Amino acid sequence: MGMYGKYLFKSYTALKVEFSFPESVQYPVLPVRLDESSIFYPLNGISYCTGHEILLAISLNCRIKVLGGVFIPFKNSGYSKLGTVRKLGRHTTDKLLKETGEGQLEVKNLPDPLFSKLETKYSRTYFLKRDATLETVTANTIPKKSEVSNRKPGSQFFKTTRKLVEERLKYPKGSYMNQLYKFISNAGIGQMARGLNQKKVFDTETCKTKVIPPGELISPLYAGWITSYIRCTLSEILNNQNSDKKIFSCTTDGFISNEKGLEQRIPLESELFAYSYYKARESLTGTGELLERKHFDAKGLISWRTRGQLGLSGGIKAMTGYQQSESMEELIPKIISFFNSPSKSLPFIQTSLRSAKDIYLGGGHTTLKLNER
Amino acid sequence: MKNLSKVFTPTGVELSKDLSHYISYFLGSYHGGRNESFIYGLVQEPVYDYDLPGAYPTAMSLLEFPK
Repeated sequence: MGMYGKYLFKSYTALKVEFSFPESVQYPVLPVRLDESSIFYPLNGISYCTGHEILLAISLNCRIKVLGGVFIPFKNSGYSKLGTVRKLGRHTTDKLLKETGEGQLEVKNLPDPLFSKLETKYSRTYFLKRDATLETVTANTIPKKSEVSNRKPGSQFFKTTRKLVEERLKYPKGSYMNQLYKFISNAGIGQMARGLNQKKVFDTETCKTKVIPPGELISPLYAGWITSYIRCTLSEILNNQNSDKKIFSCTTDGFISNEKGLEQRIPLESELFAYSYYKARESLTGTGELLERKHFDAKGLISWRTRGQLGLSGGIKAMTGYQQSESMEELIPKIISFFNSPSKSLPFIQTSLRSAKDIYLGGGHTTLKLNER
Repeated sequence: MKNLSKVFTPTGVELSKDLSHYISYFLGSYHGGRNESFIYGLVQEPVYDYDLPGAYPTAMSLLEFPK
């Protein structure tokens, strides 16, 4: 089974799996969606996840049963061991047999326990066999570091990203131009995901609320790969935190810990994603790096919710929309007191600009608006 | 699971026969960043806030075209 590992990394793989982590795993890595805006990471359940997440879960001794999914390898990934087989997911097979007729599906016996390739006049797509299971997968499935860190030199994605990174690094950190190139990089990625969440916005042309249309670069494959790679790199680091140290929170691409000096951290021998990330930074900037220290607070912090952390000296601020109008000396006791209050709430006035819908319907201009929160 | 037809139509992108089967897996497995708070309350010791530098662009540099 070792041959599949690097292809789960170097592929666009989307799976539905049933899983169970050992109870000793502190930060399970398979996302489970609660609703449109919330995901959580339980020890067991059913997850829609990516090949990255499967690899990381396997490395944490997770038991996994694949319920369905799709596997599309990277171009030039070297994945060419499969031919066509007929044992696909039941739903897909039935539908395709109706469309193409059984005789048109070529059948070969292939020594492949996990993937099936469907090749019809419509597409070339690899499907996971419906009842394939990874329960017996061992550490051999995990690819070697060299297998995930090598990259085809001419990759357009790499060339474009490196150009943007090079331009950004020409300017001092925090400067306008530095921030502009950061924005361009992130906007490109944002365009890959624009429209996937089907968020609604008010359209001033039609005076109706409508679903955000997809961007020209929309790709659930690319957007899913990028976000899951970062989730996995972060989750791998969380799971390898020194056992005598703590992690207080994490937010997309970072975390808060009581461990000093992690900006010097290099990938551990067992860390596939951290190593890949480190090498990718090396290729982009000339210097291998994994973590940078953004903020520090010598006194500590108060944490009251996801993205709600305040350093006791003001060194860390994630205020969940709270607009501070008092001094730190006044604010900290105020937040501490809300932990002890019966309502567990801290009312405040939030200022914001009037929305496009509000102005369109009510007239007037872009002015400040006060909201009770 | 999201309905892809709402994402792509009526902007003119048509679903091929197979796309409608497998795209829902990709939409289902697309999630944003991992955001969690593991403790609530007061911490009275030095704390450090770390980031993966240039996270999403770094990830994008590793992409390849699909086969």
